[in-house]
Amino acid sequence: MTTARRTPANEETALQLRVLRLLSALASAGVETVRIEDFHAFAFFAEVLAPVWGVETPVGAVLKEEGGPHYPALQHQLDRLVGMGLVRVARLTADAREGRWKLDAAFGLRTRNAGKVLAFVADMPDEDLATTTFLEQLAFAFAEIPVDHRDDAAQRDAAWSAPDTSNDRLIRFSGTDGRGQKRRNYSAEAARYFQRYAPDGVELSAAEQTTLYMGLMRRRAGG
Amino acid sequence: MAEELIGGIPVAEIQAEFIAVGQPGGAGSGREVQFLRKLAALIERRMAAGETASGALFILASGIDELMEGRASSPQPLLRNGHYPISGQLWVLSTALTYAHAIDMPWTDTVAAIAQACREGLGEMPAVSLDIRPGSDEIHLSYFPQGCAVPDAQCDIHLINRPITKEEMKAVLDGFFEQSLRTPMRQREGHGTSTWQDASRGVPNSRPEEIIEAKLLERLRSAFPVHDSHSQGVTDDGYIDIAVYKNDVTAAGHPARRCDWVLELKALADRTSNDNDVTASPHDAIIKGLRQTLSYRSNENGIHAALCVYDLRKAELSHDDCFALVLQDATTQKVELWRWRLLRSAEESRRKTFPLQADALREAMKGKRG
Repeated sequence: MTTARRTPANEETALQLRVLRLLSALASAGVETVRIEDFHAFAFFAEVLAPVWGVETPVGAVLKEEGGPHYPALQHQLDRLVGMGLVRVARLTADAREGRWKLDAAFGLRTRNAGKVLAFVADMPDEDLATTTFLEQLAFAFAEIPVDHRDDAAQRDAAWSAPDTSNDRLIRFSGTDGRGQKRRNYSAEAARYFQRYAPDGVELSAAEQTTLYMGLMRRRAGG
Repeated sequence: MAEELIGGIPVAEIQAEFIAVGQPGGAGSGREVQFLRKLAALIERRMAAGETASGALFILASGIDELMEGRASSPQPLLRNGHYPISGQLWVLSTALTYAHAIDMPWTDTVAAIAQACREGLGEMPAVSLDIRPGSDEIHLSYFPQGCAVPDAQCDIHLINRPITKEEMKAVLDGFFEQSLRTPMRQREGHGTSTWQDASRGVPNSRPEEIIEAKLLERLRSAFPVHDSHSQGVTDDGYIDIAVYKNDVTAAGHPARRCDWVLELKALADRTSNDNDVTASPHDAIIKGLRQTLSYRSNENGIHAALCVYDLRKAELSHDDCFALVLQDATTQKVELWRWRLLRSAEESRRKTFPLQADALREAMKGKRG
C-alpha cells in the first residue's frame, strides 16, 4: 500500500475538505448556517469522539482557551473557502457583549458549488465512508442542542473540563506521551462508558454512544 | 469518598443520563429517518390541535436558502414548535424542520401539490404526503424516498399509538422485500450493499443478515416513525434480533416501554461466502431460529413475534416445506413464520412475474433429454 506524501498543498486541500465535510454534515442535520463558535465546537466534538467510530482524529490536540475550542487552521481554510465561492457568509455583525467588540459571523455551504466538490470526493475509491457517517450522526446529535448552548456544550465536554487541564495549555487526546503511554481521550471514554448501563445482551452502537454523549453535553450546557 | 470522574464528568452523571434516556431511538439512521421522526411528531401534535385543509406535502431539502432563491415562497421559522397550521401547504423543510418555506400556491389537494412540486423541480427530493379524510381526524401518510416524481418507491407511514398489527407489519416487510431485496439490481440501487457476492452462482456476501438488518431498520423506522426500532446485533449463530417499541405511560402515569414486535432474522443460503457448500441443515437453523424468537420475545415481553427467513437458496420451496418441522410449535406459541425468496437475476424475476406454460414445457423437455 502506498500513502500519498503530505505536502503543504495537499495538507491545505485536506483541511479544506474537512471544513466542507463538517459544514455538509451540519447542513444534512438541518443546521444550514452555523455561528463561528458553534462550527469550532462541532469540529472539536468531531475530533474527540472520532475514536468511538474507529476513525482517525485529524489533529489530536486543541489549545484550551477561555472562549472554547478554536482551530486556527480550519478557520483559515474556512475564510479561503468563502473566497472560493464554496462557503457563504450568512451573517456578519458586530457584537459588543461583555464590553468587548467582536465579529458575530455565521457560515453555510454554497450547496450548488460545494455539492459538486463533495460529490466528486465521495466517488473517489479511497473515500472514507465511516468518517462521513460519523460526522453526519454527530451532526444530528449536535443539532439537538439549542443554538445558544452549542459552544457551551463543548466546554462541558469530558476532555475540555477535565481537572488536569488548564487554560492556555494544549489538551492532547491522541498519540503517546513522553513516557510512551497512550494518551487518554476522556470524551471517547465517557461516550463508551454508557455501555456499562445497557441491559444484558444490548450492545450500544457507535451512533447510540455518540447520541447519548451529546445528549449529556446538551444537558450539562443547560439546553 | 471522592467522586469518580471520567475527565471532567462524574460517572454518576453518565449513569443518570442513561437511566433518563435509555437506548436512543433513531440513532444510526440517515437524514431521511431523522426528518420523518420529527415530522411525525409535528403531525401528531398538529392533528391533535385540529387542521382544516385536506392535506399537505412536505419536501426534505438542504441548502434551502439557495433553493428558494427566485421562488415565490413564505418562510415559517417557527413551524416546528407545533403552534402553526401545517395543512394546505407545499412545504420545503430542513431535516430538523428549523428551515421551513411554504411555496406560494393555492391549495386544492395533495395530488395537485405533487404536480406543483414536480413543476418546481422538487420532485426528486424525499417527500411525505399527508391526506386528511374529510370530516374526520383519520389521516394517510405516504413517504416518497426518491421524491414524489418517483411514485413506485412510495411506502405508507403508520402514525399509530396502539400496537402494530400483524397485517401492518407484514405489509411493511413485504414492501421492503419488493423494493429493496427481491432482485440483485434492487439491492444495488442507491449504492446499496447487496446480500449477494455473486448472485448468479448463489454466493452470498459475508453475514447477509447484517446487510438485510441495516436496510430493514431504516424501513421500519420510516414506516413506524413514532416507534423505536432497535437491533441487538448478530448472535453467534447468525441470527439478528430486532425489536419495535413504543414509549408509553402506565395507568399510574409513569413512563413505560411497550414492545410491539420482535423480529428474528435469518438468511439461508446454499453456499458460504467463501463459495463452499453450506453443510448445516436448514431445518436445524429454523428450529434454532424459532427457539431464539421465543427467548427474545420473552426477554422483551413482546406482544408479537415473527421468525423472518430470507431465503437465498436455489430451490423453490413452499412455505410449508421450508417451515415443515416448526409449523405446529409456531402455531402453539403464536409466532409468525414469514419467508421471502431472494431472486438471483432480473430474468428469474420476470419469470416469476410473467409465468408462461412454455417454461414448464421447456423444463419437461430438458428432463426428458437428461
